[in-house]
Order: sequence, then C-alpha cells, then structure tokens
Amino acid sequence: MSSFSRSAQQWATFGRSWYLIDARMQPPGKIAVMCSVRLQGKHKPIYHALSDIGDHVVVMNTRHIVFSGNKWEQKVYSSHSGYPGGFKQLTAVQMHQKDPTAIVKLAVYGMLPKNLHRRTMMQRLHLFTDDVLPDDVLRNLTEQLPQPRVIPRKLSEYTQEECDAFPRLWTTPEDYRME
Amino acid sequence: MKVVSNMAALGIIKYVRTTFCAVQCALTRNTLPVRLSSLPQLSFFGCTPNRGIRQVVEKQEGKTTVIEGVTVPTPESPQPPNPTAKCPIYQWNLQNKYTYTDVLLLSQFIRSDGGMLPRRITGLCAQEHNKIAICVQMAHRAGLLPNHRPRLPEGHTPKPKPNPPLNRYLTRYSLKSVKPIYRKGLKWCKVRMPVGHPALKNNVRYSLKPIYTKH
Amino acid sequence: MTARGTPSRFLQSVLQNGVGRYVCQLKRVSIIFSKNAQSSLGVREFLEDGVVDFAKKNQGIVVYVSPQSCRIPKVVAEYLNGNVKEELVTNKTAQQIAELITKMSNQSGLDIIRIRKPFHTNSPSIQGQWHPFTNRLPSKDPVGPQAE
Repeated sequence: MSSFSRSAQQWATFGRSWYLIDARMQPPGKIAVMCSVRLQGKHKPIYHALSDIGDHVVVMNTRHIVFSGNKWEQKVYSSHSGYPGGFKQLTAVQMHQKDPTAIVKLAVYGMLPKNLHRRTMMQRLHLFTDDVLPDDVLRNLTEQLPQPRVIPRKLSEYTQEECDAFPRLWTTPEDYRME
Repeated sequence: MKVVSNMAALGIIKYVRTTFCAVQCALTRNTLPVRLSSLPQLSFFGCTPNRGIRQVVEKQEGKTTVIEGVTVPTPESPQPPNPTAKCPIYQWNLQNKYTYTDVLLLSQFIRSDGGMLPRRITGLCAQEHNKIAICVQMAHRAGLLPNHRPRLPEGHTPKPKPNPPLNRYLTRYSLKSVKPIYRKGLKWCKVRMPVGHPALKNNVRYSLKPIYTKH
Repeated sequence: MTARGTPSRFLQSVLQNGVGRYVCQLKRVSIIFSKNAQSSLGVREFLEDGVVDFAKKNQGIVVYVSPQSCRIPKVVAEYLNGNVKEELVTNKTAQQIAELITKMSNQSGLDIIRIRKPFHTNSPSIQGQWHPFTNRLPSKDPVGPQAE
C-alpha cells in the first residue's frame, strides 16, 4: 500500500492540474486540439466519460497566434443573434481586433463534444492575450506544454557564424552591381 | 553600393580544407544538415574561384576626393557535390528540399530590397527560379526577412499602424487581393482556403502525412 | 426485485482462513427437539447415532442438546462473528441433519447474500494508483512566463 492514506490518494488521483500553453506563433487549431483533450481529461489513464476529470488549461499570448494561408482575410466567423437581421459575419482580422482571445476560444469550443458539459469545460479554459498572468493562476500551474509548431527563425535571428557557415550556392559574376 | 568581382586564383589547398571542415562542423547546427551532408570530402583539388566584394570607399582630403574600391576578401566555400549541373540548386542537390523557412538559402538569391536577382545572374533554371520566387514571397509574408524591405524615400517616416501586423505563414496570395469567403458553400462543395503553393507540392516530406493545401 | 436492489457484499474471507491454517468459525450448535413429537424423529436418531462423533471430531464446537416440548425441531448455529443461524429440521432424516450440521460448521458465518464480484484483492495496485505527477520528472521550477 502507498505511504499515504486512501483519501489523500483519492484527492491526488482526481485533483485537477493546470496546464500552460504558449500560443505565440501557433495556429489556433493545433492549440485547440491540445486544449480540448486536456479539458475533457482524455489524456489521463483514469478517463471515463461519466467522471468529470477535466483539467484547467491556461493559454497565453493569444494575441500573437498565427494563421496559415490567407485565412486572416478569408476565414469568416458567422453568428446569429436570433432576431431578424441579426446575422453577423466577421472576418478573422475583424474578430481578432474586436477580441484577441475570440479565435482560440471559438476553435476550442468547436472541438469540444457537443453536450451539456461543454460550457463547464469552457469555464476551465483561461485565455490571456499577453504573457502577463495573474498571480492566482500562476500559483496553480503545474506544467507548460510544448508548442506544436516549430517557430521558424528570422534571418536577423541567425548569428554571423551561422550565416558564414552556410555555403555560398552560386558565385557572382565579375563586376555585377549589387543594389 | 558594393561591387562584387570574381578573381580566379589558385587557393591554397590546406587553407581551403580547414575552412571546409569548419563549414561542415557549423553545418551540423544549421537548418540544412541532412541536405548537404553528402558533400565529398576532398573534391576540390582544382582551382576554386577566389571572389571578393569590392566596397566603394570615399576619402576626402582637402579638395580632392578619392574614390577607391577596396576588396573585401570572402572566405572560401566548398565545391558543390554536382559541379557539372548549371543551376546552383541542382549543383548542390537541393531540388525539392527547401521551403520558405530556409532563409539563409533564400537570402542569397534576393537583393537588399527583397526582390529576386535576375536569372541570368544567378544561373537558376526557370523552374527553380520560380520556386525560389514563391518561397521568397512566402518568407516575406511570414516576416522571416525583416531587413530586406524596399528602401523608403529620403525623409519619409512611415505612419504608425493602429494594429500590430498579424502573424501568418504559407501565405500564397497578396493580402489585398484576397476577399473573405462569406458563402462557404454546401458541405460537399465547400470553397477552400489554399495554403502553401502547388509548385512546392513535390517537396521532400519527413512524415507519412500528405501535404494538404486546401483548408 | 432486481439484482441491484438486493443486499450485496464483496467477496471476503475471514481471518485469511485457508492460508496456512484454518480456524473453524462455528462456535456453538444447539439442537432443539421434542422427545416425543413425530417431526423430531430424525433428530432423535441423529442424537443417538452421530452427534457424539461430531462433537468428538470438532473439539472447538460446543454442542447443546435441549429437549423441549416443541413441534418444530431446529438447529441453531452461532458463529464467531456473532451471527446466529437457525435451521428448521422438521421431518428430516438423521443423514440429512448430519449433512446440515457439517455444512454449518464449514461456513464462515458471513451473510449469504449476492456477491458483487467473484474476485477480490486487498492490494488493488502494486505500483500505486495513478495521479497527475506519475511518470513526470520531478522539478521545483516555477512554470509560467515569468519563470524564464
């Protein structure tokens, strides 16, 4: 038997842990996949659909998410208020300027199962536009999840040695005026 | 303004070998370790072109202005593995092995204002020139070449933007030409959002997943 | 009544009986019968034939024989855990009663009710139950943007 009592074991097993995800330069869909798995508790070996064992997920830097392709202009978020003439369509740019957390929130909301637990699980999702988190959230965090997308380096972020080490692929002809 | 000249001279073999070793050691940390690992170790006993960038230096001594081209020697680079090919991409066996994130490669084919160098200078074949142009465009839109922007006219300060620029990658079309898709269409014939470029669909993949360009 | 409504317990053994040693759980047997009633005929036969042998064979069990003027003879068994079990032996033969008493002496005295699972263990997990920090590297570093 374990060294601590059964009730402490129960608390340890079913306690909710808090995860942190850095959304800087990450596509919202991949963030939402990680979030929805953890909000449902599907990453735990003790998962059961009837036991409410979802974890808390904190997503920071939602202002700095990235979209592939031309989705900032092409993607459209539609909503209807229920009243006549209440159909609204916003592009991703407009949505992001209106609320920097809305895109991640909607992506996660769409990936959660469509049942009565969805709103409860959304309450355990904490979105922050920048990397400034309140203290009560910071105290709870247990683990920072790795970012799903590898952020490519800018040319200015390469050091001079790395630039010099890269071989010159072609030789410039004689007396070409470089601008 | 820089004047680049090309002086053919016999390089000292020992010097070249040491530099090449240094280059290979550094390459292991680079973004293209696998792609260039097939370089032959001692294939350059022939003459290597000794290149130099001549920089224009202006000196003013009283009333006389001396304009002088000072040669800045560049370190030797190793010989490509396939020197018989004409296109530099084929010389280095890099076809279908580069994408928009390889900025060290792309930056060799662009001017300082971000435009492509002409094909008659770089010697690229038409297909590779086109692909590199596409990659350069996507790298620009992803913000990976921050210092290669067109030069602003003198005394012009850009207006401060109200919102910070949005992060994007694999952007195929220019930002102003794209319209929002308000009518997505039915489930079986949706209007898709293209990601990436079909010219790069033959690129080498290191996963089993096929490249999906229609989101 | 459905199976869920009936009383139930988990499979258990008393004092780990059978693992190394055995303690008979039957404490006391009272055989209540009538000296002259027709229904106690088998009991009287059993008393003549087999009860002394039974008592000699099972030294730990006290056997009471109490003749009363009753119509229904019975065997009352008391167990170490306090359970008392009454069995009516009306019109039973001596053979049947002997079997009944042997059976009662072999029982553990636990309630005979539905057993939820046909298996049971006192140590459900050797490795210990899972909790969020199993298989995770121990570190005391604070997590968060301010940590870097």
